[in-house]
Amino acid sequence: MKLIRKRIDKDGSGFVTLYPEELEDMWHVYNLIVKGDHLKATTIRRIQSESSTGSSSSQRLRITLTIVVENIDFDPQAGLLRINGRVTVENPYVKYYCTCTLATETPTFIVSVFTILKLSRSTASILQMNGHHTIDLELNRNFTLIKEEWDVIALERVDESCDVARKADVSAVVCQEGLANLCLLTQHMTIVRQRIETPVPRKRKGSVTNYEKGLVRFYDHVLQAILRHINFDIVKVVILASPGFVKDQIYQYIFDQAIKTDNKPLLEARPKFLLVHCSSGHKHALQEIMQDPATLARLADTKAAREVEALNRFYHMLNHDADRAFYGFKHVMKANERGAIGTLLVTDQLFRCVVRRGSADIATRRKYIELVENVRAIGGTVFVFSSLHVSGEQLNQLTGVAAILTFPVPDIEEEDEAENEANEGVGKSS
Amino acid sequence: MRWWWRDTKWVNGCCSDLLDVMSPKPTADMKSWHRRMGSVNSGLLGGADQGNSKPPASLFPALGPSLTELARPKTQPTGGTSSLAQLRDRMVKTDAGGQPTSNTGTGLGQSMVLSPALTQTKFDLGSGTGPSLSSLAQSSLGQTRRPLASLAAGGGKTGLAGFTSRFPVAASTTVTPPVTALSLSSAVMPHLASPPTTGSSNTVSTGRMTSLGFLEKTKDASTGLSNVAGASAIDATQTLKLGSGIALGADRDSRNLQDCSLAPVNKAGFDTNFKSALPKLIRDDNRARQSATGVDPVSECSAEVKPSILNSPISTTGSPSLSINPVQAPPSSVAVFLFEDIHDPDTDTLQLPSSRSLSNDEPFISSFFPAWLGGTQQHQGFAFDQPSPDDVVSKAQKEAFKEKKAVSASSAQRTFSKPSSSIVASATSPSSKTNSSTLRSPNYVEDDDNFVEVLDDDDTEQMNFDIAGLNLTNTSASGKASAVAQGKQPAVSRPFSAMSSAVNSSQPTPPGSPKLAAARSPGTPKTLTGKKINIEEEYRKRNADKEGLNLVVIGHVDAGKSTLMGHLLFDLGEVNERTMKKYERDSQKIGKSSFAFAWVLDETGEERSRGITMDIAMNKFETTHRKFTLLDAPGHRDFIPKMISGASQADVAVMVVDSTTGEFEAGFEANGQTKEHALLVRSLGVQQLVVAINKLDVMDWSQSRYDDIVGKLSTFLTQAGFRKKNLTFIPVSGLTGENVVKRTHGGVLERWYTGPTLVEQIDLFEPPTRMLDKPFRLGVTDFFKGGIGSTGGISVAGRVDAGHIQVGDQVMVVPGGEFGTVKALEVNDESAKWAVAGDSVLVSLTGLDIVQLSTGSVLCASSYPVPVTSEFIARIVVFDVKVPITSGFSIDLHHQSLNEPAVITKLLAVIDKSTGEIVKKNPRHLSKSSTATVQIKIINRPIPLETFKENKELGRVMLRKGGDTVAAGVVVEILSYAS
Repeated sequence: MKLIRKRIDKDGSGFVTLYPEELEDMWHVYNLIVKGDHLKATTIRRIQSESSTGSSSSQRLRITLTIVVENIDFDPQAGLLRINGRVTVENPYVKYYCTCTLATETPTFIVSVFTILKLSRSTASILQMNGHHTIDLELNRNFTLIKEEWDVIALERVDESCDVARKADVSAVVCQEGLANLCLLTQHMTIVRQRIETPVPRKRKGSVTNYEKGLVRFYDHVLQAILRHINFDIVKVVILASPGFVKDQIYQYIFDQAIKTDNKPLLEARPKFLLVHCSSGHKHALQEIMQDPATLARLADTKAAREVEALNRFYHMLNHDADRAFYGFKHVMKANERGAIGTLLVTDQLFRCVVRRGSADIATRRKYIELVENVRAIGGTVFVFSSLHVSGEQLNQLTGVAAILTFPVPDIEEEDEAENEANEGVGKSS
Repeated sequence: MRWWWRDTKWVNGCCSDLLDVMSPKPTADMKSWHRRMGSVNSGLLGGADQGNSKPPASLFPALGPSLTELARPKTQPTGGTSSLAQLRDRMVKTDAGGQPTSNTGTGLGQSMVLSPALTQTKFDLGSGTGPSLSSLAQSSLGQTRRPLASLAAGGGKTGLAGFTSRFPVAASTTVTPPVTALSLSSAVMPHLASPPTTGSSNTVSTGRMTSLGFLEKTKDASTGLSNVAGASAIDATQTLKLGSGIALGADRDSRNLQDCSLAPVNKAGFDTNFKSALPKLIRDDNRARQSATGVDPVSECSAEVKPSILNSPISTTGSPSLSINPVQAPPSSVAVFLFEDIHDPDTDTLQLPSSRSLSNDEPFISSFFPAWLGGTQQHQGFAFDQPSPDDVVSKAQKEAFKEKKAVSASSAQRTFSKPSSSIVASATSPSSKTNSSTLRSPNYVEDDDNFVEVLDDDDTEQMNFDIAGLNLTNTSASGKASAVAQGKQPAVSRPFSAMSSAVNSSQPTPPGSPKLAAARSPGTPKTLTGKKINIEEEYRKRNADKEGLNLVVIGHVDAGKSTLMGHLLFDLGEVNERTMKKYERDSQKIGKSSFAFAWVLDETGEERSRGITMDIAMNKFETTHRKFTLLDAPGHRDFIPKMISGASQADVAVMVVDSTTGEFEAGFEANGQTKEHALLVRSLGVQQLVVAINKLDVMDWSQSRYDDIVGKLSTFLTQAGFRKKNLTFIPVSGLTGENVVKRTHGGVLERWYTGPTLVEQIDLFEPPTRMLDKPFRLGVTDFFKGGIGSTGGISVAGRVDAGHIQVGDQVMVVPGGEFGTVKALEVNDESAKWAVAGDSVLVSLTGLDIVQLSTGSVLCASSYPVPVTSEFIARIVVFDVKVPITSGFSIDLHHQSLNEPAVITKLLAVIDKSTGEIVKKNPRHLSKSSTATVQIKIINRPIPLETFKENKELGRVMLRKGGDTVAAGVVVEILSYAS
């Protein structure tokens, strides 16, 4: 993503103009936009106009709309971001019409705008200023995001997304016999591109032909998927991971086939392949892969790897010194009050004030931002997990917020229990 | 409250003004109504309210509609008879008239108030000017059959809430007053609807249960039904007439009236009954969730109700007069069939719900009383995104089969002796029995540290370990429970081997299953072609010769499992000389001559070249007294999923341990598989274990080394839950074959070892009790195109987990629900006509597409399909984990041959291992070797699963993460159902 323009006033309000370049940028935008923001972007609408003679014509126009965001939908698979909201700004690209009928206070200049129609409505109707519109954000087109308040998380997100250096395009094929998941990993996202499931008959006494045939079929499916989904120009590392020897077998099969079919790009990409052990072919085995030193060396300091590491540290702490590891907002907040948080793990979901998922309102977001700022203020580290990564998914399951404390605070749990009991007591008495 | 008033208005339209006028007063009254209805419901549901006197608010929406309907017809000016106000006043009056409303809360007492009130109301209506409810009902029967049916379906689905959603349909069609009047007696409706509409077997099955729940409510309104239901409990011969009887009930106005007028008199009888039920309910409530008694309150309630109906003099005298009315349509064959089943001659309906097991309860309740259940547990009131009534009804239909089964199981034990005055007493007694046994339920006794299953010293009990199982000693369901109540009749029989005759007579009647010889219809696949084979007999014949056992070989990688077993097979003559020679030659060629014996089992090129077993190898051999199916498991930690798949098919195990210096330690210490394998097989139900201390030839047959290893292992294994007497240690050498089948006389080993050889020891394995009388289940471990003997179709391999199967049977594949016909069978590589639980079989199926199958599918009897779920509650024992288990912990769930990613969504409670009591609710995390109940969600797709109580093989799960087994558990409760 490119930062085109940025102007933020002292009070935190302001706008940012961005230029998304790749799918991951959509993910950033998804996390950036919050309900209530203003978004100015271009979109194509079919405009139908009626001339004075009564003949009508319609044309598709790229027009710029400014809307107040009400709802955001994101499909990580396609990287499609749809933003829904009401139009707030009268737009120069849309023709103004004077209709006396609608003139109310200022009859000289009003306005009613010609209808912007979504496709096939035949009669012209009047566009209302507050009409609902949906904008699909497009790659390679500027958009401007206006916020009343740009908070730390949002600003960081802008910086992060525009940092060209931080990029690692990795694809991983996680497999076990009969099952493979082909994933694309970026800085902030893990996308399963294809899930391959091929039944492999098991060896039977005296006959292994079925088994071997099944295996070859499975390897072939994996190879086809790799060829289809992985662009070796972009992807820097292809991780082949599996328990047992499946990865070696697949590796061998792939290059046997490459030689047979004389597939140059594939043969050239040979050094990009990295064989890693993992315990299963399911997607969450990626977490193990991220911990593997071989992967770490190749991926250097990627966000995903750091996240996995932090989460492991948390679990380790929970096991060994449970009073120094807490999760859930209430507990973490209490730890924060005591200034005990050394490392804070939060998922970006909590900052996303989208109607459907995660924290639903600005108040919650503010709450979490406060928490983040507090922790930073006392010198703690904050990891904002991407909920599209496996580690982020797991943290999400774990209420989305967790903390590793610098010193044990055993009374948090006790307090909580006491509170619970009190609550139960209240419940009973009422 | 408000909303359904609005609703009423909406429906009524015309009389909205009337309503408005009355609304202030009614609102108050209705509230009290609500409370009563709410508490009735909660009472029926049991555990819904947890003894709280306040009815759960969530019930209100569900109940609202019914009340609306209650009120509505009366507001209609059409009848011109008794107004709503009148009616309601009367109800309130009866209420205020000093009924023993026990405000303690369980609501049953209050429910009693309800019925007399209703009685009165109805009486009034009838004797007054207007048409009686029942006559209305009758007219509606003729006119609005369709809406009725749909209403009935709706009722089955979402309880009362369903009515609202369906209501507009009924209302728009025509006769609103009768329809609504009917909704008053909601239970009757399905019955009314069902006999004439032949196709609606769904409705019937739903209605049947509904009627139980609603019985006391409907008793007066539906007269005929109550009579019949009551009568059927006494005299089962009349049950055939039940369907018609109900239909008849509608037009027997005059009798109704008398009946009703007498009802208040009977009230006294009712009350006593209900009072006696109260404490039980309260007690049950507390445990309803965890201890399988979810449905008991219902059963008890219905149990109480019916006898009291019987107590009514009129109804008893009335019942014989039921006969088929020539004017009415006779009951459909479907209806007759269903009713006949439920009121089986030697059955009493009272036991219906109580004889169900836990796993049944949940779906059972949710299908019949979803609104209540939902209202109290999951969602608030009626949601429009629920599955359609039809879905639920069809599910209920499936449930009906289970129910049927349960009935026949309990039938033998409980019958009413006398039909007359003593009935109240006799009726209460069975319920008190259930109750007393229920009280015993929370015996979560666990006697071992690491895992769980109870191992008593008694021989009979021993074979029985799986039923006692993970100590989920359960009551509501099992025949055991009732048996306990009936004087300690042995719930489970002695081991099979001991008595071949046991199959028939003294065979226990496990929960909810019919006697072997008598009824095998419910769970058995339908045989389409050919003659039925009497499998019990055949099985006995076969067992008289040699009994079959499944043996899994486990141990750390490179312990010499395959070599040992290869040698054993060779020595027993299962591998011919020539093949062996070939293996020796070939293995020498690639410089792995020591692997020659392993090649017997490791057949793939990959395995041979790497010298490692990668997948389960199946083979068979016979000893003097036993026939074994050998499962050679891979030892490498990456192949543990395969090993689990093999071990889940096994009855007994041989653990091979490398005795060489350093190797044993490597296998035994932290990262070795010796411990993990032992724990896994133990968790998978294997109780008898032979430990083969291998490679002792390398150690010069050192006794001290042997003793050292035995000492270390036996400590660990007893901790892991193996009993000392089920553990034997044998020094062997797989490579030389020493002490495998025979011992060299005068050898070094002979100096200090005089015990049995490996094969002799294996021969002493006791076969476990097979679940022959359970519905058929076969967990698919493998499948491929092409039938046996290069015929068409597809072949499916696996072990029969329960029940039996024969050629010509129709089986169902779950998930998917497709059907296939068994064309040919192979048991242990020999073609056979039938197979029973415990056999490793290869089944050729026709009429099935291979895409329907996947590893982890289950073949089952079509009449009794395995539930498919993606969310369930399991009781787990946490192994030695590095990271604690928290909520949101992602795991690989292993279930038989299947492994699926899953998430532990909730940690429900930590349980004390020895007492079974809850130590801590909603724990933050589970640390190692704790026992807990957790909620697990499967991410990708639903899988077939049964509760441990229902089927111990399909009820076990292993949880792994990152290549380590983190926990083993059993399914306690299935939360969601898919197809």
